[in-house]
Amino acid sequence: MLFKEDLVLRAQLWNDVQTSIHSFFTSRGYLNVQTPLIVRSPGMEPNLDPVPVDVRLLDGVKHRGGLITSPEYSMKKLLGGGLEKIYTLTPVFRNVEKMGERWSVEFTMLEWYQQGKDYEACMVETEELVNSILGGTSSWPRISYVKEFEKHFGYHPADATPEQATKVADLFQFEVMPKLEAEYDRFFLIEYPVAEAALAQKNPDGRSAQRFEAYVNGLEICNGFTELVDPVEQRARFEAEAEERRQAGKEVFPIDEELLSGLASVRSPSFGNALGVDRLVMLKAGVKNIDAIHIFPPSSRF
Amino acid sequence: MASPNDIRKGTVINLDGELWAVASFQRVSPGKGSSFVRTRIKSLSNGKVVEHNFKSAENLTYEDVGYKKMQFIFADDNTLTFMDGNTFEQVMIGRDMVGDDTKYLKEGLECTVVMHDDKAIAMELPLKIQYTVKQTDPAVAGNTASGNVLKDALTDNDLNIRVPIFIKEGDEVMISSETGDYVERVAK
Repeated sequence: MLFKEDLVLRAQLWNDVQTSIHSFFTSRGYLNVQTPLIVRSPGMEPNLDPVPVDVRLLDGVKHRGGLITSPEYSMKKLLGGGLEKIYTLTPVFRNVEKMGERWSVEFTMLEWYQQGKDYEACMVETEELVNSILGGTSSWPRISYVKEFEKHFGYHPADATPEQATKVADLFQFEVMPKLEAEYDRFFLIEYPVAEAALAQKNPDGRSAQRFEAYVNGLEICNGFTELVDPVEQRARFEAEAEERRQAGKEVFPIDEELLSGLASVRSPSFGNALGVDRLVMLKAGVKNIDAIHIFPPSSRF
Repeated sequence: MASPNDIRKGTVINLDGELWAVASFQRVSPGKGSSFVRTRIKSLSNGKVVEHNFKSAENLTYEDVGYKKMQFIFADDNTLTFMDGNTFEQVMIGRDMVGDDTKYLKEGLECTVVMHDDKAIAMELPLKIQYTVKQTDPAVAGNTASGNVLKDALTDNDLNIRVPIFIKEGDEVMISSETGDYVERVAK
């Protein structure tokens, strides 16, 4: 166990950040919702590794499920149920390579959604929220992924040959991201290639999609979209992800039918954003190690 | 065949017949694209150091290396010397393979030395290292409420660190060798 001074300081730090988040969203008319942690479909993304859970009811019935990797599915169901502006602050769970440094199997996610607004409005709220916690001024630079890519490599990702297309994401990550992170303390990366934003609405020209990420001091803190609200497209995407998981030998959880049936009632545009609160707390504390902000440091837990 | 996710300092990778030793690495899991490992690797044949990104899905061939617990003894201009506490055997590692980690070393610190072909080629620090705070300013009242919870400090081996304001000179602190961050205060 940490010494008392460390415990107090860290508990206070989390308290301050959580209080700021609650007052930020309450004052803007958002409803705080609690979403389930154990679900049948904990997440389909091929790159995520959910923590499986076996639920055994006392009458002997067993259910296979898992801990949520994000509250996204539940939040979108609530949009389908007619809620207009919602946020949640919740633990999420992902199997990770190791505990400590930048990783933990359990961390805190802030997600918020609003119907009738697109990702531009969401970015304004994001920078206001972050500034309310870390200080700083608004109007962070908006850097277009596709334009930046074209500037560096001479072609637009939408015009890539099939062979070039497989390399776009890596080229951008290896060649462009380090420069952007060196140039800007805080910025939004916007206008993603369609292939990297399957769940985002496309821009009017169809050549990029309305996804964004915010970077603060080299840390990616959130990932937001103007949400795709087409249940047919969403099902196709889920099926593709399930197939990718199957081929990678990963457990495939069932498609969340309740989510798909609710999606048709969500208005377009609607935005959603997922922000890693641990990272925000690390930024506020001025540290790069997740152990340094927790009263139960991840690297000491297993 | 092995995965880039298993890369450690001193891992020797066979790339088209040429052997490269990993001097430093960083795992990156971007929200876009696939995850990869960013490395600085040194050629074991000509000493050239290059940066290289390995995608996590790649298959790599590693050469056998051995690991030995050894204590740091001293540094000179180009090399760092470590000793086996049982056999008193001493080995030297080039500073170019240790890089920024050199600042965390202090006499007697037990590290993991990586051996390849009977030569010491790299070393791994303990993940957390205990230091004594040699110098730091006293806490300023009223500074704890929000933000600004860290202050500068200097350790017994002249490492510059940031510590919470309640830390006093003479306190023992645990520092992460991965990020340089203060992790916790520990008993003296």
